[in-house]
Amino acid sequence: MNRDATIWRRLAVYLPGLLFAAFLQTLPGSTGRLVSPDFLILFPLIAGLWTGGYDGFAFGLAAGFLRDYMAGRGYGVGMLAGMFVGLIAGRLAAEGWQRYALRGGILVLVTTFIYDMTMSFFVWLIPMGDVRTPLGPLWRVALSHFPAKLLSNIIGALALTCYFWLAFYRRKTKREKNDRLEEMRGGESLA
Amino acid sequence: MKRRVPRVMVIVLVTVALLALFILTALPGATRSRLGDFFGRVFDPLTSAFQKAIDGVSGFFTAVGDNRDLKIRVAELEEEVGKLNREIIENQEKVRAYDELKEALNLITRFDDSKVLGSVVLNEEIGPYFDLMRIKAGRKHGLDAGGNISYPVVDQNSALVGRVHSSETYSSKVMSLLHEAFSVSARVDGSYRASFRVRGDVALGEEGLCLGDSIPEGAPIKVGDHIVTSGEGGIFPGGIPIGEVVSLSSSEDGKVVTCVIKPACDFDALQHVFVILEHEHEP
Repeated sequence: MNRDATIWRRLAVYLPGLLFAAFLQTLPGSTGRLVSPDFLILFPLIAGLWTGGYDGFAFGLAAGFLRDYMAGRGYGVGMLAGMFVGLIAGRLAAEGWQRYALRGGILVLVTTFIYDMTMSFFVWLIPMGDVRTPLGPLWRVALSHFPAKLLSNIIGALALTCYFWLAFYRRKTKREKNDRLEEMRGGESLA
Repeated sequence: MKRRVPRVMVIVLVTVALLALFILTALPGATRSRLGDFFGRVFDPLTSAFQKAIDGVSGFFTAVGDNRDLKIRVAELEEEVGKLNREIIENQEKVRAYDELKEALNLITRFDDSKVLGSVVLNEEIGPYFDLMRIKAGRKHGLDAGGNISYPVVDQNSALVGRVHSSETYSSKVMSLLHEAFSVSARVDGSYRASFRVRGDVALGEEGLCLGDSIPEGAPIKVGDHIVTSGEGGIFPGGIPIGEVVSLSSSEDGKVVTCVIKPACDFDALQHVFVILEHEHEP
């Protein structure tokens, strides 16, 4: 959670991170992997929670575009999904690890569920060939993947959190340390 | 509150623009292609570079691991046997490369009346709706798919992978055999009649299988049969291996109605593909 990071630092962390995550997710031969997090949806989510504001929104659009470009049937759906996930995450951003973990956990759970169900709905809504697959089997397949996907996404979210923590790490200045000390002393005296 | 109004407006405008883009690009046409052309110039080389880097890193670690194994072996075996083993390991890679080259050569001679274009898989599918893979061959390489024009895609063993969905300047999207919108006319290998349809199915696709349906009455089909393309339909030349029949289902009167086919192509290990560009392509 680094609200005070400069825009250049945020760009320097988010941009290569997003590209690396996207390439890693779509690397040929990765289908059969046990853990395959959906980094392209997790990235705007965690970025939104980490720095708040409109970072999630912007990187949601970027991640969505990558998704559309790489494997989409057209453009727009991935960008819309990424944008909204990033926006919601940005709105829920808060200071403190406890709130971050709680809100992040809930967001990962809800996003994993809604995302696949929505995309399966789009598959049904805009069929590619002459055969329109009924919505029931599509949602059944999406639901059957849910537990494994959720676990993968939780692992992915933890990996991204580690990356952001390391990338945004800043040593505390002497003044900040003193302020913290003062705060603690004040707390003790009040107690 | 006053400051938020323009931001909300931006979000609404972006949403509307994306919806318009979605509608425009859902239809086959130039918009999708132009966007891909523009972005692909920068992004495709990046993807290739990343894949090379990953190969390099994994190659390094494999080499380190192999070396450790080799040391243990050398200690266990006599000096002479150890030397031979090292030579064999060193040559294994060359033998594999030679075999791949030989297979590719067979592929070209197999489709000698067509032009075969080799390509690298840039990325796989990413779940529902994002279910196309991208290969590094586009209009610049003579591939101009889109609308009714498509090309068959096979792997190095000439097994059917799918067909080209759309092409951009440097890359193309491929619809796999397991995709629910994919269909091809097929027949049992060795028989020259009774063609039927092989298509992707959502539920079977999850298990890496596809479906054979519209099977005509009396078609000579049984479990274990090898299924190949029939050559009907204009896109796929005849004789491309599709897969093997793993189960049959019959109607109440005992007629075979559908069959489940295990594709010959190993999609999990798919890294290189070959696009068959016919000389005279009929849309």
